[in-house]
Amino acid sequence: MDYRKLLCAGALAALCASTTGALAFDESIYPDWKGKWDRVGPPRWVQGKDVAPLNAEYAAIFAKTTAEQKAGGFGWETSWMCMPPGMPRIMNAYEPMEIVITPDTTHILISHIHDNRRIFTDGRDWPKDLEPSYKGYSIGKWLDTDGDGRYDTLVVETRNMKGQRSYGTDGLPLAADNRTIVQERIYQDKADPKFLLDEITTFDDALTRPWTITKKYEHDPKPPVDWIEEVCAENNPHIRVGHDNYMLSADGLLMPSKPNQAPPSLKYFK
Amino acid sequence: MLYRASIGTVALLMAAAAATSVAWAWDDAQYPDWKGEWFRASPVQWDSTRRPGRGQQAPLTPQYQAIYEVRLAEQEKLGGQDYNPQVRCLPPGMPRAMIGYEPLEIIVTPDVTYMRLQYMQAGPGPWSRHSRDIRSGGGSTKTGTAATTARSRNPRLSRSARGREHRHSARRRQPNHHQGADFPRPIKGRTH
Repeated sequence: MDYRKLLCAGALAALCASTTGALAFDESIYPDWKGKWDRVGPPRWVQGKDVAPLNAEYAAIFAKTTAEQKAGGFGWETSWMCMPPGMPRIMNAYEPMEIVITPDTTHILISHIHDNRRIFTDGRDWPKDLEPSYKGYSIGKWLDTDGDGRYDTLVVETRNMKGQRSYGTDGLPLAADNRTIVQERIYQDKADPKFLLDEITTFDDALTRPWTITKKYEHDPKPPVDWIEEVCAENNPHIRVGHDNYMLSADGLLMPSKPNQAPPSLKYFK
Repeated sequence: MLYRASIGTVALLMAAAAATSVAWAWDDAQYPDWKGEWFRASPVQWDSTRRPGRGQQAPLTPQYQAIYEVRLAEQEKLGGQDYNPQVRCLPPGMPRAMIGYEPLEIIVTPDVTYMRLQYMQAGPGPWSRHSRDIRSGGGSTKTGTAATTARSRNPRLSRSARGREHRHSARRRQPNHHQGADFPRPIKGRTH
């Protein structure tokens, strides 16, 4: 009889344990992506011999941007005036990336220019009335692709962006209508888990077809002691006046950024 | 004898299971629930119980009181705020960041508590957004005390009389909807 009481007590304890489990965030079912992730390779979207599948309209815009950049301008590119890169360019990871996983939201933190992302994994639907943002609105879902009882892949869709955006400093453009949709599949490289891969497919009206590339990030094994604080406006020598870009010289004077550039209007100084 | 063996096995399994749970699970029930958006509940001056400007009665040294008077004069007579780093789109730094110009999000994890302060900085045009993350560590789970590790070079107290509101663009629109039939279906069932 005493044995039966003990067994009942054991069963009760097990029930209590399962109740506690319901309250706790069981991080053992999520991948351990803590620490710093550094971009592998240059922050360019076009990789290897890949060619951006731009349609004719945006191929012309890109050609014009390339010509303007050769002349000292920027064309479609806007980060020189501290504009956020937005999605999908954020995933170039200009600075080290930190991934904070919680049950409801996965945060991707990159100290650059407004590059921090929230990926909602709480099962919500798309909000009906939402102000667009450069980073867009991201909804994700965790997958256990190998059935081992532990999530290994985060799939994400991002919508509701605003612009003007490009894929990198070369000004490779995204469409001005800002109807971009970005789908991602983020997972650790099974062959070498120190690498994190992000398969990014961009749907955009500047493209002739959906464009998939894979970004790679390497885990920094050193325990993170500090994180870089990137402040774009600090010591930014670029100045925009009207629709043109100028430079601020080391002695604090306005200077041209292009050969034979006319000075800006001084109309309001008269 | 059979009962004793069963009890021993059950006890052993439960102990092992408990140990494993403690090692892996993060019991967020023992932390405060600070999820969601936190909005500033007071004006933007540093001491919200006092009037802005000289009304703050900040215990400045004579040297810095003189500097402050020069800045107040610049602001009142000339309309300038060159002393204010935010007009150049520079972050306010600590402690001014805790004014909370935009809603605050607090992400509590066992190792790090993140205070995400994302705000608009009204600068010389619409090209001035910044976000900051303050990573703090070593804090009490009850009081939230922490050793803050992120600071800017030149933190200032809040602007006083002419607190400029930071507003998101009033422009709103519906989410995007692609029409191309060759696009795959999205995760959440949206039709292209």
